[in-house]
Amino acid sequence: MIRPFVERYRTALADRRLPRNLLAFQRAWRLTRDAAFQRLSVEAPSLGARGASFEAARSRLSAAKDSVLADPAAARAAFISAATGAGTIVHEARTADDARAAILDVLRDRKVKLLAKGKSMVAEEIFLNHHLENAQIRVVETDLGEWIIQLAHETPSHMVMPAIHKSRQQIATLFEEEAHRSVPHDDVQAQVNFARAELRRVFLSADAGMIGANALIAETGTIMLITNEGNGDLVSTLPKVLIVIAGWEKIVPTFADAAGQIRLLARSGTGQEITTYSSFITGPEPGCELHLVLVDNGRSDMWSDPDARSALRCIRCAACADVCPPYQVVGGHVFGYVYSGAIGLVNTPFHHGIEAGMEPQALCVSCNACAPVCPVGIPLPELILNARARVVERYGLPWYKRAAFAVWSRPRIFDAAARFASLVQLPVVAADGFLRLPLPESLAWRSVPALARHPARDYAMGRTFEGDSTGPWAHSNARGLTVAYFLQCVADRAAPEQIDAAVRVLRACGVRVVVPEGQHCCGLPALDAGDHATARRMARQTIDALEASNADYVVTGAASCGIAIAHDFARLFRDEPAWAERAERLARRTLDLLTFVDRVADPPVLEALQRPPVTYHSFCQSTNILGISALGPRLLRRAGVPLADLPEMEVCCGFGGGASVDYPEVSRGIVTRKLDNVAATGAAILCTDNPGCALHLKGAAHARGMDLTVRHVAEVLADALNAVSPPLG
Amino acid sequence: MASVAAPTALWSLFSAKVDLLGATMMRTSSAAGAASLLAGLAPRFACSASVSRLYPAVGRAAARTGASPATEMVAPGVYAIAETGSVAVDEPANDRGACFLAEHLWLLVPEREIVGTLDLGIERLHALVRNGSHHPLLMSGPSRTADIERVLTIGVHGPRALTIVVVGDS
Repeated sequence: MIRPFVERYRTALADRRLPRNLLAFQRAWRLTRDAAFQRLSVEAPSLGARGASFEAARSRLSAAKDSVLADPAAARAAFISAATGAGTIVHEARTADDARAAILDVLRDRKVKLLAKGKSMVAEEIFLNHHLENAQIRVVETDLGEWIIQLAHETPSHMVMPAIHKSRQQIATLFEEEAHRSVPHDDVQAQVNFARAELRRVFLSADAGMIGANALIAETGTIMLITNEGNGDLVSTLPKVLIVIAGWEKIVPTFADAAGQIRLLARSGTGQEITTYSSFITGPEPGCELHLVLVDNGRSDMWSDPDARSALRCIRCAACADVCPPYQVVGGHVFGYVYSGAIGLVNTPFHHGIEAGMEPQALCVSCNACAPVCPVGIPLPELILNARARVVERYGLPWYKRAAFAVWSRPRIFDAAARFASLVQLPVVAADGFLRLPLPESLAWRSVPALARHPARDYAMGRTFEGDSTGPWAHSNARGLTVAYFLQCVADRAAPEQIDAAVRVLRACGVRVVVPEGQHCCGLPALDAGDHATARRMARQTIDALEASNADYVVTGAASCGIAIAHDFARLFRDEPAWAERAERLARRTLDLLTFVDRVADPPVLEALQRPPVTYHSFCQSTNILGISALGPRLLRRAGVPLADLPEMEVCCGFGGGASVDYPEVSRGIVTRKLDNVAATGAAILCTDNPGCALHLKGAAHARGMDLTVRHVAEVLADALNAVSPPLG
Repeated sequence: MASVAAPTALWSLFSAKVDLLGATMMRTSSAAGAASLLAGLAPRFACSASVSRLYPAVGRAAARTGASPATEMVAPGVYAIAETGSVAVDEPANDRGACFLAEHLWLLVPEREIVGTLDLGIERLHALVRNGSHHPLLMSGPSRTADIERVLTIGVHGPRALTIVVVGDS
């Protein structure tokens, strides 16, 4: 039923319309979703609403969901007891097989020939239609999107909009094949009218109806159903037999919790303030039957797993797909099963086995965009990295990563290899600083920058650089402080000019900079690849090297590594308390360069320079983990640098995670979006706060022949300040 | 939690929300006014059994009472919610089915029955459930879909038009 990953991936890449449509969708979603929450914050407080902002509503609903997860058996018992009391017949199904068998029994007993179905992700999860049709029961999906994909014999590519991958022309053709009459190919209203007429016959003649549930309210045994089309109410009203299928994680304790879910779900799913129909079904009406199939199918295993439990809070709004840069490039089918986007990378292994999630998990670029928009606060990026680590534990790393980390994790071997590479590359280094390599088409979209002849460590490590006493920022609040600078391996070897600039900016703020000996890579590449053993080894080296300095702060111009040190290390050592404590101590005084300069140094605003504007891309994790996307632009303005605002500044550039190695086509699609946005600004200089992103963007801009200089933000700041300190070398 | 705004302010917020949802709101001072309004705007309308009970004048003006599907269907709204522009509907299965199958649904809501927030609206819905309602629901605008190329399209399965008639006490 599900095609192999490679096939799904190739099909998606061959569809040139798909990324265009999904890009338009993601942009529109972001605007309407943000506007809907903005209105909530403005209007709801004066009405006295509970949960009158995204954050408040999120924490209320998360707490309600967690209260169920604290004791699921009790929550199930409470719900079942209330539902049964109201006359609902509850069938508990441990596996997909059990669920299908329970449904089939009900349908066969009632001699059902035609089942009219509302949208249910759980039904998709257990491939219900396929099994019912094999049992000679006709199933018709009545949600328009679900009906379209049923006619196309496909699975949903989006949880809220199942047929988002289809064009109106493709849909018209499907309708014509179904009805043997012509349907307008360009007129969506006419297509919707066609569906109305065709499906109305199904509503009126079905022997039984089936719906999913958005929430199961324990206090009364009520099923909450939310739809826009009205099909859910028709299939749950017209036939005498109604079957509801739902995962038990849909249980919430009270009606008040359900209200909180309504506030979040419509805004997060479609940017609406409320969905058209919010129905509350409790027990069968006179002369009718109501069955509820309560599905586990891996949910108890998720619950038992501390790395997955919080994912059971999910309300299936698909916000995590709607902000996901790889989703925009390849769409939902590549994720494989019904749950696409970030949540799919976490829960698919529990519903369909670890193999099902093995290849898709590497699609994640670790940009963290999904975490801030999740209406139930699931730490998706962290759970995805844990899922990836499970895959690596079970199957090992691919050979190329194993080989790379064997070198990368050993400082002396890495150093020798990097120096050797900087020599052997010489014949292919062009005057523009890029390697002339015969790359295959799948990789040729990004030129490879040459390694520096002399890494920054050669002239910086072990040295102390005094703060400047003159210059426009020399009397900043950080004057007299000492900072231990973390070089970061990429900048050290491939862009030492970024380090030079960062140190000059710090000195310009009157800060003394020491560069501790013994530092190497923080281990982030291994952490991203799911190789936690190697990541821990490298983290220990880094902690050893950095904690030796008695500096006031540890600062790095590599935001990614600053985040790894300040946020990931402690988690990495959760089973080693002594190391966890050292990691936390180090984390408390580690800052990325921008945060240090903006918040600690807090330098004065200088007169604006008369020069063409630069544009700024905020590294995605700076935006989504640190919440500092505004700092880069603010500091540039303080330094007098004119700025051209970059559209979608906060969307990832495609460098992160493993995608740029494992799925270069995805990385290419994402960087194309970024560079198109950069081109729209007309700026000739793009700067950003992370060395990896700078090199990735530089290589991609070079390969597409763009007249664009890509720099670290520190380089632009240092230039603007005309920092008096001499270069390090 | 009590709503902080007066009923007139709530109805004006409700009206703004109804506009955004693509529904229509009208006002009339009495049940008789509703009957003549409907007779003028919705010829040969049908109404649910509860309309005849709650608004006898409207029931008398209806072409038909009961469940068989009609183009113009009239049903009572139990209360309105200002925050969301929603109306609560609590009809038995046959009348509820007729509401969803109609082309144009008219909901009659007593002027005094408005709450400010969704929270209060859901509290009242909870009360309906406790009193034995099997399938109360909130309706917020006409049926809609964006499943084809994200094009917002009105009237896919449920009513293509929704009119809320606020009925005064006189």
